[in-house]
Amino acid sequence: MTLQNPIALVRGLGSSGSGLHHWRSQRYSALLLLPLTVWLLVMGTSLADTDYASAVAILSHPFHAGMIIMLAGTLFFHMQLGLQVVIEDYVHIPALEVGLLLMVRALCLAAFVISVLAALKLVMGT
Amino acid sequence: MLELRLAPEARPLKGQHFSAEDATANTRIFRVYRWDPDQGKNPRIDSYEVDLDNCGPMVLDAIIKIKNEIDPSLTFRRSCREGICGSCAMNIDGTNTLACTKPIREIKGDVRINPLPHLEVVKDLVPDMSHFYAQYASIKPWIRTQSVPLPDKERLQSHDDRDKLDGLYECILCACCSTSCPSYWWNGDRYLGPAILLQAYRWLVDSRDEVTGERLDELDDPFRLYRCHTIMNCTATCPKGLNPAKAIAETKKMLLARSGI
Repeated sequence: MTLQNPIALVRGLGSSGSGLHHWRSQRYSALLLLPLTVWLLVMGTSLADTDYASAVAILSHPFHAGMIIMLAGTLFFHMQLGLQVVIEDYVHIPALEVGLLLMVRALCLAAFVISVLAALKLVMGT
Repeated sequence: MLELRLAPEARPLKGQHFSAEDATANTRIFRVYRWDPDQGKNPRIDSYEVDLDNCGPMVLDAIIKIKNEIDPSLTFRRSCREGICGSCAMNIDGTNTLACTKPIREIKGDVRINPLPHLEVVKDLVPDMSHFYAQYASIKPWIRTQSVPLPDKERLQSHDDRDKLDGLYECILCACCSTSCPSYWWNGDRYLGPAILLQAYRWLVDSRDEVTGERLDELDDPFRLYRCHTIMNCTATCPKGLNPAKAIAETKKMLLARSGI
């Protein structure tokens, strides 16, 4: 219950001046994911018939290891941006919202770091 | 948190049935949402049999007939009865539209009539529009200039520049689009919604306005503008055939152009 004038509620804390950055990042990461996903599909199907040792040999090439890192970075960045919007849209309990937003960011960052380490392990051997 | 069901006290119950005295083959049933704040009861859906042989062609004609001849307690807004005032916006047959321009013959079966979704109901088919109007006021929907106008001349506009307002100036602020938008349902407290964003764009592209940058500053916000997820309900439902989704997309493109790719 509030007796504030509706215009005061609408004006609220004002414009944050930062909506464009998020929207643009989401669009550009989606564009970048298109070729990377094609690479992933081609790689996935061609590796299906190879044994473990030759798969490691192919993926340890700097180009493919680089693609793994590019894909992981773009994918988890895009995922974090998208899940952030979903949580902001639907979760309106402040503590739960903040908790979920932070958790999503932490999990996406962790997934990216682990992917990079896995790619580097392929390149450098165990 | 997102709620998919109405609160128990807001769920409509079965209401009264009003039979037509001399029912003909051309009698239709109108199922209308009723809620009276003074009664402290759940809303109910009353059904009225209306003889369409003695009724005008539009849904508004039928509900005026119901109010005049069957049940004077039925409450709704109406004024111009020709689609220019926006008063009789309501949810008819599952779609937000103007009762005065919606022909009854376009509806199959019973005619279901509810107030605009997700606004507080004042009574029956009358929703509370205060927040919507406050949002409209917040975009300062009038010409704002820096230059001093010549005392003996209007501010001129070329034909090409005037053409840019077509498809925008026709908006009558009936709120059909905003109240059809899921993003506006969940975040309408901060998201401006398609109607207000179309109006904001109408001033962004007006060649005579001189504060375009400030208008963009006010919109560049994750909630005010960017809660639009291109769902397109707004464009699908607009009873005036306008395209708020395109106006919003053009606004996003203006912000992008301003900041550089």
